[in-house]
Order: sequence, then C-alpha cells, then structure tokens
Amino acid sequence: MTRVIETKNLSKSYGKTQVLKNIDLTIEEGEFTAVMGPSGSGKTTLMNALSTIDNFTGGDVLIEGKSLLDLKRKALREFRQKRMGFIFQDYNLLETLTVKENILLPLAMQKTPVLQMEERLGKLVEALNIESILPQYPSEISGGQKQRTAAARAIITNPAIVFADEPTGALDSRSATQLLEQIQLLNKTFGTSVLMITHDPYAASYCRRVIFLRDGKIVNEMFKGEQTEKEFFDRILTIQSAIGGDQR
Amino acid sequence: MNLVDLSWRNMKRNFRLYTIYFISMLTGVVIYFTFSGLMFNEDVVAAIHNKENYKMVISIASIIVFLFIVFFILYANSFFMKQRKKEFGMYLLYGMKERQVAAMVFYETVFLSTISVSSGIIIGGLLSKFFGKVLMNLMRYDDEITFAFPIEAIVSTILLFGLLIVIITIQSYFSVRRVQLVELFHAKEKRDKPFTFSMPLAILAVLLITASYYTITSAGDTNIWKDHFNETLTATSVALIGGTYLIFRQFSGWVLQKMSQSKRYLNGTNMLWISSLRFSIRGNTMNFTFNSLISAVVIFAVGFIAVDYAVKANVVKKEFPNHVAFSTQDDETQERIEHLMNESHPIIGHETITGIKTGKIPDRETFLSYPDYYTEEFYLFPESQLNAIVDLREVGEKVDLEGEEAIVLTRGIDDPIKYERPHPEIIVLEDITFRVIEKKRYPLLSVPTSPGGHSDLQPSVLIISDEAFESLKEHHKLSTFEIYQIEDPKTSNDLSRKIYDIVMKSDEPYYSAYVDMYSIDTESSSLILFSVAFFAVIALFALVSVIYFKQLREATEEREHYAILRKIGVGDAEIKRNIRKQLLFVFLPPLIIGLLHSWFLLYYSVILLVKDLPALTTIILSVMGLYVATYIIFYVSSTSIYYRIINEKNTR
Repeated sequence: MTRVIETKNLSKSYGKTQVLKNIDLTIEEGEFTAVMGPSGSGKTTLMNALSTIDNFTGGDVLIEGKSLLDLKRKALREFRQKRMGFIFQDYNLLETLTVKENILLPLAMQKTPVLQMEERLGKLVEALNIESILPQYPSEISGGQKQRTAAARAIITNPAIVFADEPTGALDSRSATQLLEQIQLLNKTFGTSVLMITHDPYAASYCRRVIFLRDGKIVNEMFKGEQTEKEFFDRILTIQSAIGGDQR
Repeated sequence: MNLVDLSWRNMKRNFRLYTIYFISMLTGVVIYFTFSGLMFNEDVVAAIHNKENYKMVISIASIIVFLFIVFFILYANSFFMKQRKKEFGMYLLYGMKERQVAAMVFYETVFLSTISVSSGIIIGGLLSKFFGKVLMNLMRYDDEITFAFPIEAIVSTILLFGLLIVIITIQSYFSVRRVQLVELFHAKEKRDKPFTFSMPLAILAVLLITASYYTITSAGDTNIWKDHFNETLTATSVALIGGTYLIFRQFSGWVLQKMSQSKRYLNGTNMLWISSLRFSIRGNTMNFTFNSLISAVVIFAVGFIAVDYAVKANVVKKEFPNHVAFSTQDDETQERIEHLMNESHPIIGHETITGIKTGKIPDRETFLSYPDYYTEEFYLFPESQLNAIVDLREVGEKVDLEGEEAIVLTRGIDDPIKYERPHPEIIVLEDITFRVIEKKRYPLLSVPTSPGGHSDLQPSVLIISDEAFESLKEHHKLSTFEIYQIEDPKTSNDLSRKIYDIVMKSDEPYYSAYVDMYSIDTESSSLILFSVAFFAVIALFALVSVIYFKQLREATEEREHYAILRKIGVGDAEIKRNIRKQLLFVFLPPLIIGLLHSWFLLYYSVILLVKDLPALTTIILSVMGLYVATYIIFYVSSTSIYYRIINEKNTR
C-alpha cells in the first residue's frame, strides 16, 4: 500500500506557543482515519498543515511521496485542487449554483471534458442517493443533503485523500448517521482515503482508525479491526475519558 | 474612551471604506466649488459682456450641480451606512444609545467634511483656472484667467456643505434607528432561485427597441412625426423605456440562461459568474434601466447643445455679414466714426448703399415664409449695389436683372426659391409693379442690433434692376446705409457701443453690428454648453458610481462565496478572471445600451440635419468617449477593489 500522507517531526508554532509537537503520522491509501482530541489540542492545525492550507514551522510533510517543502505555491494549489477533497462543517456550498453544479465545480476548474464529468457524477449520485436533488439549489435542500453534496464535491476529482473537518457537526443524529455510512461506503467502493476531524466519538466509531491528539502530540491510536461500530464506540469513549478533555 | 475617540479609531480601522466615502464627498466639493468659483471669478466676470445673463445661468447651473451632489452624497452615505450596519448593531448590543451612535457618526461626518471641504476648495481653486480657460476658449476670448479663491464661493461652498452635513446626520440617525438587533444573529439572508425569464417578454424587449429605433430613423422619410408629433413621441419614448427595462430583465435573462445551457458553461469559471449574474438580475434591472436611459439623455443633450454651439458661430457669421452697418450720418459724424474704427479695428472695406423705402406691403407673405420676422416696409436697392456688396464681402453671387425683374432677399430659415413663369407680382410705391423671379438668401441689411444684445425685425429688401431704380429715384426719398468691414470684428464690443451711441442720436436710425450678436450668442451658447457638459460629467459620474457602490456592496456579501472557492482550491488568477468577467457583464450592457440609444437620438435629430460641420463628429465622439472613459475607470477600479474586499478576512 502506498503512503498517502507521511509526516516527519511535524511542528507548528505561533510565536512561542507550540501547537504541534514533532508529529509522526502515516496515512496509507484507502484508510478512514479520525483525529480526535479536546479543543485546542491542535486537530485543526494538523489538518491545515496536512492539507497545505497553512504552512508548518518544523519537520516535513510528504504527500504521495512528495515533500511539501519542495513544492511551490502554484504547485501546491494544483496539488490541492487535484489530489485533495474537502468537507467542511458548514458545507461551504455556493448558493448560486445548483447541487449538480456545485459537485462539478472542481472538475470545471480543471477543465475536464463534459462527458467525463457526467460519467463520474453518475457513479457518485448513485452511491450518495442525491439523484433527485441535482437540479435544486442549496437553499432548497436539508443539511444532510447539503453535506452529501459537499461529500460528492470532495470526492469527484478522485482525490488521494479527503479531509473532513467536523462533517457531522451541524447535522442531526439521523442525518449524521446517514452521512457517516455514506462516507464509509465511498471509502470502501472508491478506495478514497479519508481523514476526519471530530469531537464526536460516535462519528469516530465509523472510522477504521482513531488518533487521539492532546496538546499537540499524538497520545493514543486505535484500530477498529473486526469490531462493530458499537463496540468501537465504547472503546473510544473509554480512551477519551482516560485522556481527558471535553465530553461533548 | 469617549465617542470622538471611538470615531477616530473607526476611521483608522476601516480606512478603505472611509476612503471611498471621502472621495465621493471630495468630488462633490471640487465640482461645486469649481462651479461657484467661476461665478465669482473676477477675471472671468470681467471678460464676459453680458454679465447678468452669465450670473443667472451659472447660478441656476450651480443649483442643479448642488442637487446632483446632494443625490450623489446621500447615495454614497446610504451605501456607507449599510456597510456599517453590523458595527452599529454591535454598539447597540453593548448598550450604546441610538443617539450616541448617531452622534459618533456626526463627529465622523464633520471630520470627513472638514477635510474634504478644505482640500476640495484648494483643488477646485486650482481647477478653476483650467475651467475658466475652457470657458474663455468656448467663448473665443483670450483673456488670462488666474487662480482664484473668491470668498463668496468659499462661503457658499461651506454653507451648502454645512447643510449637507445636517441632511447626512439625519439620514444616518434614521439608518441607525432602523438597525434591528435580531439581524445580527440571523444567518445571511437566503437567496432565491435564479431569475427565470419569459420568452415572449424577451422577444417583446427586442421588438420594442427595434420599433422605437425604426420610428426614430424614419423621421425623415414619413410624415408620422410631422402629423402626429406628440403621439409618436410618447409612443417612441414608452417603447424605448419599456424595451430597455425588458432588455435588462428578460433578454439578459434569456442570454444568461442560454449561456448556462451551452457546453462551455461547465468549463473553468464560466459557471461561477454566469450563475452569479443570473441571481442578480432582479436587483440590477432598475438600476441598469435608469442608468442607460439617463446616460442616453445626457449624451444626447450634450451632443445637441455642442452642435448648437458649433452651428451658432457659423449662423451668426452668415446672418450678420456686415461687421458694422448703420444709416448714413452727416459728414462730420461720419468722419468721427471712421476715426474711432481706425483707432482700434482698422477698416478693411467700406461701401455706401442707397435705396428707397416703401410703405407697408400687405402681401409680403407671398414671398416670405415667416413674414413676422420681417418689417412690413421694403427697401428697394438696385442690382449694382448688391453686386458691390458681394465684392466687398467676397461672399455670394452677383445678379443681373432687367426691366421689371426683382429679387426678394430673405434670411435664415426662409428657403431660397426660383419662381416659375409667370413670375408673381409685387406692387410697391403704390403703383409700381415688379415681377419676382427669385427668392434669395442674402442679408444685405442684417437684423438691427444693439450692444446690449437686443435685436429687431429684419428689414425686407427687394433688389430691382438698375434702370428701374434710376427712373424711381428722382421721385422718392432715398435712404443710405454705410457698410464697413473691419479687422478682428470679434473683439469690437467697445467700438460697437460707441458707434451705436452716436448713431442712435440721428433720425430713423439703423444700426447692426456683427459683434453684438456674436458675443451674445457665443456667450450664451458657450455658457449653456459649458454647464451642460458639467452636468453631464457629474450625472455620468453619479450614475456609474451607483453601479460601483452596488458592486462593492455585493463584494462584501460575496466574501464567503470566494472563501469557499479558495478552500476548494481555486487560485488567485482564476478568482480575478471571474471577478473581471462578472463585473464586465455588469458594466458593459448599460454602457452599450446607453450609447446605442444616444447614437440613434443624435444621429437622426442632429447629425443628419447638420451637414456642413466637420467638427460635429469630433464633438459627439468626444462626448461618447468621455462617457466610455468614465465607465472604464469605474470598471477597472471596481474590479481591483472588489478583489481586495473579497480577500479580506471575513469578520462574521
């Protein structure tokens, strides 16, 4: 299996405050990983560093074997556009575009031929069950549908990895479950690696691997293995209370 | 921290927003001060001959200028207030009273106004030399204009802007009171679906515009304008206004929808700006319609007035070919007058013409299309005298008449005619019959004038053959006229005044001087042209800035939109391209429609009618050029400011 992401001694500080401390993390192709940790533990900083949105101050990040330190701004942007997908807590859908247009936007930016766009869209639409809402505008659909649209947009470029920042944060539990199951499905069918940041042990229980972060360091790591979501959820809760931090 | 302190901090923190507002105010002051500066500029006033007329035109113009500025600044202020709604909401939330917020806004306004009024006066004073020079050039005077800061203009500028501060404060107070705290907690207002056009209305839009253009172009070919002027004018205006509105709403909706169905739609940033525009059609229609129509009217007015100005100088030259002409005086007075002329404007040519004055001719309307402009009495002149004047002026054709043949001389609007046989008869001096063979446009004796600018009826003139005149002159009283051509007649105002005073003392005086009409006509038409051009600049500026402010407001609303684009990996270059395209579609259509409208109006009402004026195209093209340049400036600056706004951190 290829390593999608590999960090070596990754550090990040704002002035004198060190937010990430020598993180060594490897994410293999096809993994579905959750990063958990209390507020201020450095989850978002880590994701921003990995997703090239923000720079880091020490160590290195390799994406598909390429060091981010070697890439220029433009190359980084291109890399982000082609090899990464993003799902945000507040959906970040464009209100002026239909669901279909929102999903196709990243492909349009890369000037993909229309036929190819339709082909890729067709596959996703089925998996995410969003056929009926394609011609609608974001203001006309529910939160769960919006997040599924965002997920489709993240995945349509066939990225090496999808970063999901609290994707279930704004959803009710039913929509959240539905979304998690679908991300799980996408992960399985398309083999897309997913890195999800979450507070929520329930969301994390859908992942195959959970990394616990505290004060900028990885303090624990666990794999789901053959466990059910319920069993994994219980284990995560135990660890989480052992580590401390907020119990939301 | 008190309120003044808070205002100061606001200005420092929110510099760009204040800059836009400040520049609008500054522009207002500069324009107003330049204008009122001209009214009181001593050099300009000294050069003007008709001072009362000048002051009246300029003061009316400055009132209009001021109204424009009020409109413009109130618009800028309301934009400014809307941008700051959130900020005001926060103050209110933290327990500030509405009056305190209003007071804070008042301090800011006073501060900004003080700076803009004082720097505006300086800039306006410096510009007044330039504009004074422009005005002098238009009037074809070469007086030197110095920089001037007339105290009256400074006081009136300060007073008027004092008034404006009061209005702005009231406006601000009401917009603070309208701030609803609830809005602070609401998410951004939901967007509707994009505008859906209706095909029949889109077609109707094109039809209406085509029909009104067609009616305008057919002005020369059909009688519809002549016979039913009011009805045609109303119908055409309604069609043009309705068509313009529908073009912006339905037709553009149709175009954008077509674009969104094309293959290229899913290519690059096309999807972004096209869909964004489809959402903003509703909000932009009125704005664009208003803008195009007003710009069309403004360009038309400037073009029309400019042409009128250019034509007038020629008309005066044609209608008043005698530099100085008056009824013959006694020898001593005659010598005095010639001496006066040679002192300042040496005589180039001189001719004395002698004629016979008839009694009232009742049937002059047979020959004169507009008899009310002519005296009822005719002067009879022999052909040789007319030919002598043709030699003197080096303008016109000589005539050769025999026996009873005669020619009626007309002016201006009376069209020349060659009469068919049998020639119509005219009976003069009770029983003398002449046969009129031709009606000729040639002012042998021009309209009587006075240096104050008054004019009288055109003397009616009948040219008869030399032998007929010879036989008549024995039995009738003769009238003689002195006709002079002098050097540089355009500056002979003082001379004209002196000669006029002398001539008026004689019996049955006749006096006519080129310069009298020239300075009146040129001064008034220059003034009108100058004022209208000024209005046009302000009006265009105000109109374009309405679009401009609207775009800036949209930019603030679309910040989030662009933040999302960045997050999904859209680069700077693409974002810039997107903004450029989107704004191009906002600025271009009103510009094109405005230009088209004004072109049709101008072409068929002016350009086709005025043929022998080479400067015409230059004038009209430069007016349109100015208009286009204004648009380009606003387009370029709004793209760059738009880009800066969306790049700012969203403070929400």
